[in-house]
Amino acid sequence: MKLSIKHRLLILLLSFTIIVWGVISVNSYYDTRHHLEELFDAQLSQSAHVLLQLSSHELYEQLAYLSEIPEAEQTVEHSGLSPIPIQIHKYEQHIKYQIWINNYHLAVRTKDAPNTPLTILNDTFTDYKHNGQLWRVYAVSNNANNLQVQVAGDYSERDKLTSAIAIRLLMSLGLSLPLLAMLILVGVGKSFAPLEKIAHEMEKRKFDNLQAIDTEEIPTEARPMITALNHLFEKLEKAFNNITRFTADAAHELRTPLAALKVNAQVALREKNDELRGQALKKVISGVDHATNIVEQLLMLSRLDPDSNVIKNEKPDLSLIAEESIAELTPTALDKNIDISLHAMQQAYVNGKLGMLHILVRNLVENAIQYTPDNGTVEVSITQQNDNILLTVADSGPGIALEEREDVFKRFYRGASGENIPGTGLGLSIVSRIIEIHRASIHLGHSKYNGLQVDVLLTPATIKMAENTGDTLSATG
Amino acid sequence: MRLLLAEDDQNLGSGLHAGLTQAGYAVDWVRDGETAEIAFKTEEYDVSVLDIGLPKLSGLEVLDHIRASGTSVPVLVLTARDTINDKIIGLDRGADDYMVKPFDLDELNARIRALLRRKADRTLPVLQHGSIELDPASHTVKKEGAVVDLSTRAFTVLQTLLENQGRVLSRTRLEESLYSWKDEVDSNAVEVHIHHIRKKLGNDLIRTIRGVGYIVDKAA
Repeated sequence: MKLSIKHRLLILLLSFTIIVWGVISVNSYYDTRHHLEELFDAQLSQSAHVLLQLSSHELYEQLAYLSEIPEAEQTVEHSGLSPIPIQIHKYEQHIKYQIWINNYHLAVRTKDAPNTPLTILNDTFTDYKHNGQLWRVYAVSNNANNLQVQVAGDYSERDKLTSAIAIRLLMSLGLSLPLLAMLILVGVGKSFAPLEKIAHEMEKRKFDNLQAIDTEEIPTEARPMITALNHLFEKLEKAFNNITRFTADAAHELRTPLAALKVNAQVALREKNDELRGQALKKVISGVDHATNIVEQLLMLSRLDPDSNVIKNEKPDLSLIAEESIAELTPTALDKNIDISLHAMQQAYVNGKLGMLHILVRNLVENAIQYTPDNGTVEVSITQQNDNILLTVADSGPGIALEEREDVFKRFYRGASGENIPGTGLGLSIVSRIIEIHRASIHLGHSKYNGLQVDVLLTPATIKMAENTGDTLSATG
Repeated sequence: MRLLLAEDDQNLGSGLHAGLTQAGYAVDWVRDGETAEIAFKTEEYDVSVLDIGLPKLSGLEVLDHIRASGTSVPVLVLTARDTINDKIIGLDRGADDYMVKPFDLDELNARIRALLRRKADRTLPVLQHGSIELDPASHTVKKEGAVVDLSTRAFTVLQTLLENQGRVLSRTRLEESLYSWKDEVDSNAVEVHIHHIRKKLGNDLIRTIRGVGYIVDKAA
């Protein structure tokens, strides 16, 4: 069941309160009852002693006379003793009593007391059943043991008082529970106010507002959650900015080829000279090719992005990949009369994805061929270096100036020497992303052919690696 | 009309070069900002089309430098960014007009003509002198309402002279408006074009100032 913390707290606090309160109430009910009984008993015994004191003198005097009166008439009314009990307080005991002389003669009794002894024991509290009513009885005799007073109180009178106390207790519980619930609600509500404020703010937020939540007013308990949220916001903002920039860059980069297409088409349309019109139309076609290339590379780059962080151990052979890539690119190299060669170790199994590594090698070699002037050299080698596998692509092209080496990995960056070379400015961005996914490292340097040398360091696919899904890989920039 | 085109994209640059040449401009095409700046400093251009995203020196930096050195050549900026801010920045840094890629070649030509009109301080699109009318947009010359056939270069010479009525233009100045770097300059070309114009439109229109150049007098 889905419950808000507020309701959960309310229910929990209330039920705990009821349980604790209930235990205390039952306990104090029995405690009170016990003390009340003692109090009533004390009152009973006191009444018996008072009665004994009061009656002993007078009774002795009338002893002879009373003995002559028939027993049926021996009631208090006739005895000359005024009846003692009158109810002054509602919880006062209505005391019934008998006064016995010489243990067999009932001298005085209250109207509601029977004419048989209530008890046979002196100085002891006993129970007595009379007409379905339970009485508490106490008897006391004088020192001469010729006068005995027996007193009794009705249990129902005691019960009246104890039930009144129980009702009071229940009533106070019943009355205070709603009040307590209200106070808990208010208190809990107050404690949750900062969180509710955040929720309200979040509700109103626009999708691109990824500002961190101010943790100043956040209660300590909720702070880890909000901090985690803020971290997520930070990451989201980075990703969001990245995507926004990517889209803007992509749109921007497509504008120039589109402009070229339109201008060349318009030139062709109005050109009367057949040769010049043909030239313009050829540019239209090469413009379409260029734009297509950009779109394809953009798609490739975007496909590399999501969920690519985990490398499944395909254990591809880098030497084989290089062989295939270079075979594909050799015709282009031969067109420029470039001396292209591969020096690869046997079976260079690396930790990575076959498809991506193919793109990586292809992009690097393609770049080298493109930037290398006619009759130049492109040399690819795959060697073991310490525990890693090193892929090197060296060319005799213009190289990349030191200050440009970081920029070339940015999307759509075209090097200063790349003015007249067809390209999208995306090749090295793709390479960089693949390097990142493979936790490999790349280094741009100067080749022995006075051109660019690209070194890529990859982790070999050892058996240990296969068991240990890439966790032991060292992350390198 | 001498025009400097600064565009790094091979396809767009060659397309623009062809398109602007078709429209009768002598186009010099440079591919980076540094060369553009040098060209601005060494040659006199009537108008310029400048891409903002140039290598080595951005179009905006080129603008800054040439405006700081007092060059007043009208510059139309080409930009791939279409936010208002990008447009404002370009205009505020000394561009006279801008176009967002991809653009229409006809519109680009019309805007260049408007820039040239503004530079010559006239509002009417058609240049007039007496009974002669020259329309840069349709590339036509009329005398007393009848269309006169003129070659592209002769047309440019006439347009330059009509835009500078009352001012003497040297032969070199007229040559510059005719030829870009690539063209081989024929030493007699200007005289030949003047000769053609005179033949078609009458001898009174263009006066020769011996040893100095040519002038079209201000219409009375």
